[in-house]
Amino acid sequence: MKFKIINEIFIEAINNVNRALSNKTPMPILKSVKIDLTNEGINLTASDSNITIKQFIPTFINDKQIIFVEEEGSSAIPGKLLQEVLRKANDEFVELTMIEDKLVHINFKNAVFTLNCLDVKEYPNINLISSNQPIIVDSKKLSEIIRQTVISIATSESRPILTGINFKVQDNILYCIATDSYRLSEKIFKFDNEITDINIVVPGKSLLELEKLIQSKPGEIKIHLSNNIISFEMDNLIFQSRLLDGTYPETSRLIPKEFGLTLGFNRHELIDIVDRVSLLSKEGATNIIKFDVYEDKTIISLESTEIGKVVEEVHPLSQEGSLLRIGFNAKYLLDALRILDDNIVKIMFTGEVRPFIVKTKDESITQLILPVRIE
Amino acid sequence: MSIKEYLNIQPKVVKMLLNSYNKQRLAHAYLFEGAKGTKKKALAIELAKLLYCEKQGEVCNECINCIRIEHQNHPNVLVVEADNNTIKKEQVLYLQQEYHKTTLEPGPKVYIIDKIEKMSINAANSILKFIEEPVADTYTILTTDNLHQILPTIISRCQVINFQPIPKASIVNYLIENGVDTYIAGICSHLTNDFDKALEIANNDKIINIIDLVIMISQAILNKQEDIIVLLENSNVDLTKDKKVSEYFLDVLLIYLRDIQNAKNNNFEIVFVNDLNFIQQYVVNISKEKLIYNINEVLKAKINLEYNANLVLLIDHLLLNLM
Repeated sequence: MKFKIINEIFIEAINNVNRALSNKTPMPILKSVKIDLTNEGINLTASDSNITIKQFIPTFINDKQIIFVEEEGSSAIPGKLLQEVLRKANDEFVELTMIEDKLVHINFKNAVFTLNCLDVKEYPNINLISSNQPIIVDSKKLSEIIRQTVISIATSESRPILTGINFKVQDNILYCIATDSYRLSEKIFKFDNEITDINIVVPGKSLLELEKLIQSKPGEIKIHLSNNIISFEMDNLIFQSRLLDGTYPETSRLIPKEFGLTLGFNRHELIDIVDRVSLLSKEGATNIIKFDVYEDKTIISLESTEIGKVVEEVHPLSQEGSLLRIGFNAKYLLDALRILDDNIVKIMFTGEVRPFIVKTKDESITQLILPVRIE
Repeated sequence: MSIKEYLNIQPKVVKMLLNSYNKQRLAHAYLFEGAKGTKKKALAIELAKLLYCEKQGEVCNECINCIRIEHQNHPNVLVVEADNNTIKKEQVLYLQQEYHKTTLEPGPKVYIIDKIEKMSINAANSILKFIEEPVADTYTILTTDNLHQILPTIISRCQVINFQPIPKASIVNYLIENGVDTYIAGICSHLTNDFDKALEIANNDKIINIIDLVIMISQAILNKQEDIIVLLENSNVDLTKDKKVSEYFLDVLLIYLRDIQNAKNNNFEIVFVNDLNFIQQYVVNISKEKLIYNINEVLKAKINLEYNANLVLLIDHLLLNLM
């Protein structure tokens, strides 16, 4: 393998794939970035076995030659080190040459780095799927899907399946569901093309990493779903994640359809109130906030035997249905309110010990919270 | 070494594993149990290779899968080992997370946990959870030096496979092949059960001096000489500097004392063959009770050595008591 490349472009690509590298991997080979060079361009692959990022750099971009290929080939170069070397390079071009199986030269200006590498043949054979029926979604939309659901994933490992987001395709609708069994977020995305029904669970951590990656990349993303891998394809970039093994709990019947009471609030105002009331909450403990709904006002209160008590009166923008008194974890409501976008939110209750939902006029997103018994 | 080369070391185990593999009846969880150096971990890795080798039903050690498993670079084969004598919580957590994910490459998942007794009870209990509910195409292999330290709940969920101690003769042969003197090879084979460890001891430049010293001291005990401590001072080995040297010294001394005891019981198959005549001649000088007392003293010294006792005091104390 031997090639010369414009450093600026190479660094950017390496920075992209290096997001997948991890220091903690038990497999030594995964500390490396795999470089596959052909006359068409370079494929860079990095992985921590959970997520894999692959980037393609074409030889020509807009008729400008980026890569000067001398000899095709592959090698695995320590990723973090390569990144550091390129960052410090003081030349427009860098040249990489594989001397023998486990030795690579990096040349620029007057400097030569000789790096010890691992045998590229030992690199995992990562199958990047590209099905012919991808779901096509705008990168902003995908980012929104992840942000609005990921708040509800479980953080404890006691039920590993709940640390992921359920991706369920049914009748041309993608349902993304996350729950930690105390609250649930469901986002619905409708698409046009025909796709076979599938039901998989994607690790929440992988999706958070994806969200960071796509923030700065507007455009179209193709989602390929399969039974053991999910991959997201962008311009010259593929992000892939392993899945969680197991069956996700059936959640479709959990969301109530009829409601006894609906309250409308200004979202920002309600965030302020709940935030203020939570001041008296104890660090680390679950803090139960109470809503007492009267004809003309709603009283929001929080009482902690050790710290004290706070009561705040609020007048909902709209109110419909029977009166009620309910208590629940303040953090759950706050999380749900913060990731919604609209100015007006509706909180819809069915009963004192029944789950309630938080919605905006955006019908695609539902946040469900389970109350606790009070008194 | 290929799996078949383990046939002369662990014939029963290898045959059993090969048979189960060929009949596709491998258990989802194995517990390899046996003394140190009986090649438990090596065979666990061989089993993983057997599942993945490109030549079906063999271990070629040449194909990319075999090489990757050997270098711990195979994405579906995870080996967890004790780090600093304990298996850490993070390692168990990582294992658990891995267990619940789909595989990166197609194929079965293999988890090898070496020396599971090094795990805390909490960690072992969380392992239990996934051995209990086996997922299809997943193999877990646990190894242990000491079956009695393992939670009974774990044992009951695994197929326990017994590893026989390695025959002394094969260790002796291995040492002789590697250029060790027959006499020394015989002694070293009694110090450990592990081929490489035995070779390491035999190649230690102090071991000959240690053996000489043991012989002198033991002969002095049998002769009823009074100047054992002087012997120690005239010797080329300093027992009070290196803990390892003291450890070997105690182990070799123990073998010699056992030889005397065997001779006392008219069993003349002894390790120190060169001293056979001497032992036969003087064995009457020492009573059975004194011999047992001496053996106990050496064992006590070994325990104190583990606890980092002062080496000078430890050795002096021992020798005075042996007289």
